[in-house]
Amino acid sequence: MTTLDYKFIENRKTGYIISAVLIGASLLFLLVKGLNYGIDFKGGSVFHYRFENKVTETQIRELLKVPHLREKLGEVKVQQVLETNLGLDNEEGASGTAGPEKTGTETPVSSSRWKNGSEYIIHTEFAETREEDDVEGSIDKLLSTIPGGMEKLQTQKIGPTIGANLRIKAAWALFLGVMIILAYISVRFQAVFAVAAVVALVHDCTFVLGLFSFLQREVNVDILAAILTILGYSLNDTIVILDRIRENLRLKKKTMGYADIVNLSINQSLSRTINTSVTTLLPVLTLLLFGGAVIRGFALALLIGVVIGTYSSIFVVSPIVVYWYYRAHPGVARKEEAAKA
Amino acid sequence: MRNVPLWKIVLVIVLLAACAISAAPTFKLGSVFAPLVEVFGGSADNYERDAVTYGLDLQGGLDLTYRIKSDKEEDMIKAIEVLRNRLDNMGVANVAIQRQGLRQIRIQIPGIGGKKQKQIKNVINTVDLLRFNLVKQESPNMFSLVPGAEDELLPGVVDKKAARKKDAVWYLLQKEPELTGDALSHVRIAFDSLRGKPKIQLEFHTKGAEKFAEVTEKLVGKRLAIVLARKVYMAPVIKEPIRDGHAEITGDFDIEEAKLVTNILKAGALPCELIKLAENSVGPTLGKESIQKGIYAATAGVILVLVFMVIWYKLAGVFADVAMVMNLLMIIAMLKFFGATLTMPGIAGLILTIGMSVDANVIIFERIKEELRNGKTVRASIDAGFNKAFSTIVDANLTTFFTALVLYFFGTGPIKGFAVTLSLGILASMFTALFVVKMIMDMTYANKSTGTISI
Repeated sequence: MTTLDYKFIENRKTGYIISAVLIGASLLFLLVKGLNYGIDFKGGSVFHYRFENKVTETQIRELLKVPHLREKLGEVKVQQVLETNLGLDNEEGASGTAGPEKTGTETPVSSSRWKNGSEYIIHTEFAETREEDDVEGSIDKLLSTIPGGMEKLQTQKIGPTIGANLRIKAAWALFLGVMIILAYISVRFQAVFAVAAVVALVHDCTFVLGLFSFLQREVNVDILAAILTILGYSLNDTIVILDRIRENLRLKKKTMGYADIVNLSINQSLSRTINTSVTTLLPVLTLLLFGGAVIRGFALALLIGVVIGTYSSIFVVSPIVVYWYYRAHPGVARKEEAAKA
Repeated sequence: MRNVPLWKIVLVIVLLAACAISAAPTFKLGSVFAPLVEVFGGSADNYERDAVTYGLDLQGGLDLTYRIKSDKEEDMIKAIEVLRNRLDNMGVANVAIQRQGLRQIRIQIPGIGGKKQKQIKNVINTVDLLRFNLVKQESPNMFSLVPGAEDELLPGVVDKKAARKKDAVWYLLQKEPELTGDALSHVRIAFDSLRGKPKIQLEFHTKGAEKFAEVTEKLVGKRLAIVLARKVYMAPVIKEPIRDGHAEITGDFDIEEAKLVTNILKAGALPCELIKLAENSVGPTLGKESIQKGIYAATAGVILVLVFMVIWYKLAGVFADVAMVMNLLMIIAMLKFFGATLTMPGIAGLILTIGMSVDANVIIFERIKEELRNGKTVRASIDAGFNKAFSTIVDANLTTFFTALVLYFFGTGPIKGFAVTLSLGILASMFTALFVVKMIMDMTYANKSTGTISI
C-alpha cells in the first residue's frame, strides 16, 4: 500500500469555507429557531400511549378538550410515534384479558402484538402535585373510550425546579469537560494543540445542536449525553492525529517544513481515522435503525457527531495548528519555500 | 508458542472463563454453564436467573422525587421513616428510598405495573392515610362533580366483582378532614362473620374519642366518608353521635388488603406534606421492548463490525473480533460484580463500545502495517507496532474516559448507566487490545522471523 499524500493542508481553504457554511447555518438556526427543549429541561408531563387500532391525532385532541382539564393541561402537544416493529413478538402475548378496557390491569394483552396499531406521545404542562395524578387519571379515562385496546407505556412528569436544576448541571458538565480536555492536552502535548482541539470540539457541538435546531428534534438529557460522548470521540480522533504530528515533529523537524509535517501526519493517520469511524458508525447505525423510538434521537446525535468529529479532526484541528505556528514564527514560511525551490 | 509465558495464557483463559460464566445468564445462556455451577455446590436455578440488574427504564417501575414542605431536619428524618414503613408493608421488593440533599427524597420501585403504581403513589403522597371527611355530593359520573377550592374529588372503592367501571362511584368531599388517623390508638383486623369478610376495627384514644363524638354529633343526618389512601371506603349517614370511641371499616377487601391497610395505618402520619418534583413511570411492556430492541441492535452492530474487521485486517481482524467479544463479556461481568444497573443508554454505551473498542486494535494494526512497509520483519513489526501505539491509545482513550466520568457525576440514573458502560468498555478494550491481542499475536507468530503476516 503506497503512502497516501492527499494535500489536506494545501487545500485548507476549502475546509475553512465548508466549516464556515456549516457553523454559520447552525448558529443562524440556533438563534432564530432555537432548540426544542424537552421536559427534562423545560419541565412538563409526557404520556406515552399505544392503541390497538389506528387512532388519529385529531381524535385524541378532541377527546382531551374537556373543559375542566383545559387549564390543568395547559398547552397540549400530541405527537405520533413511528415504530419499526420488525416482527418482534412478545412470548407472553397470550396473557391478560382481551376486552376494550385495559387501563390499570396488571397483565395487559401484549401491545407489541398490535401490528396495526398506533402510538402517541402527549405533552402537557406539569400540573400541581396533587392534581397531577388526577390529571393522568382523567386522560386515561378519556382515552380509554377509544374502541380497541390501549396501553400506557410510560409517563414522565418533571416539575419546573428540576428542569432549571438540569440546565445548570448541563452547563457545568460541558464546561468541566472542556476544561479537563484543555488541561490534559496542554500537559501531554502543547497549549496550541489544546486550543485547536477545543475549537474543533466547539465546532462539532455547534453543528450537532444546529442540526437539531433545524430539525426541531427534542433535546433532552440523552442528547446531552450524546454530545458529551461526541466530545470524547472527536477528541479521540484529534489526539491520534496530534500524536502523529508530535512524533513526526520530533523525527522530521530538520528535513521537512512544518505544514508538510502536519500534512504527512494526517495522511499517515488517515487509514486508522477512516476505519475507526466506520467501526463506530456501523453500530450507531444499527442503533438508529433497530433501537426504537426511545433511543432514536440519541443515535442520530451520535451519528452526526461521529461524522463531523472525523471531519473536524482533519479539517479544523490541523489547519489551526499550522496557522498558529506560522503566525508565531514569522518568516519561517518563506524560508521553507526557499528551501524547497 | 514459547515466547509467551504460561502465566499470561492461564490468566487470560481464566479471566475469559470467569466473565463468560458471569455474563451468560444475562444473554439467557445460563444453561450452558449450569452443570458447572451444580458441581461447585451452587444452585443452577439461582445462577440462571442471576442476570445483570436492569434499570427502571428496562424492567419497568416507578421513580419519584419529592421535596418535603418543611425546613426542619427532624421532619425529614421522620418522613423517610414513615415512608419506609408504609412501603415495606406494600408487598413490593427492592424499594429504594434515597435522601437527596437537604429536602429531597427519591423513591425508586422497580418492576411494578400500573395499578400497583397508583396504589403506591397514593400511599406516599398522603400525609394522613386515614381521614374522615364530610361528604358533599356523590355521583357515578366523575365529570358531573366540579370541585371548588375547598373540595376534593375522590373515587369510591369499587366492588371488585363488578366487571364494568360503570359501577364506580365518585365523591365530592370537604377537603379539610374532620378527623385524621392520629386520633387512633389501636387498629386491628376482625372477621365479619355476617358478610364473611375481614373488617378493620378502629379504636380512638381518649382525646380522639372526644373529638369523634363532637364530630359525629355535629354531623348527625349528614354523611361522613372514611377515606383510606385517597379512596373512599365507606360513606355512612351519621344517625347518632358515636361516643364509645370505636369505628369499623367494612369494605370489599380480602385478608391481604386488610393486613396491608392495618400495617400502613400503624406506620403513622407523615410529618408534613410532600411536593412531587418529578416522576417517571415505565410500564413493563416498554421495558421488555427496549431490551429486545437493544439486543437486536447490539447483535446487528456486533456482526457488522466483526465482518468488517475480518475483511479489512484478515487474520488479525479475527483476533480483534475475539477481543471485542471478550470486551462485551467483561463489561457485563463487571456490571454484575459492582452491582451496577444496565439502562437503555447503557445498552447504547455497550453498542458504542463495540465500535470504539476495535479502535485500539485498529491503531495497533495500522502501525504494524506501517512498520512492515518500512521493511521490518514480522516479529519486529508486531513489537514496534504495539510499542508505538501504546501512548496513542492511552492518550486517546483517557480523554474519552474523562468525559465519561463527567457524565457519571452530572448525570441521573439512565445517563449514569451510559457513563458506566462506556467507562468499563474503555478500560476493557485497552486491556484486551494491549494485553490479550498482543499475546495471541505473539503466540501465532512466535517462530516466524521472516514470513508473512495476515493483517
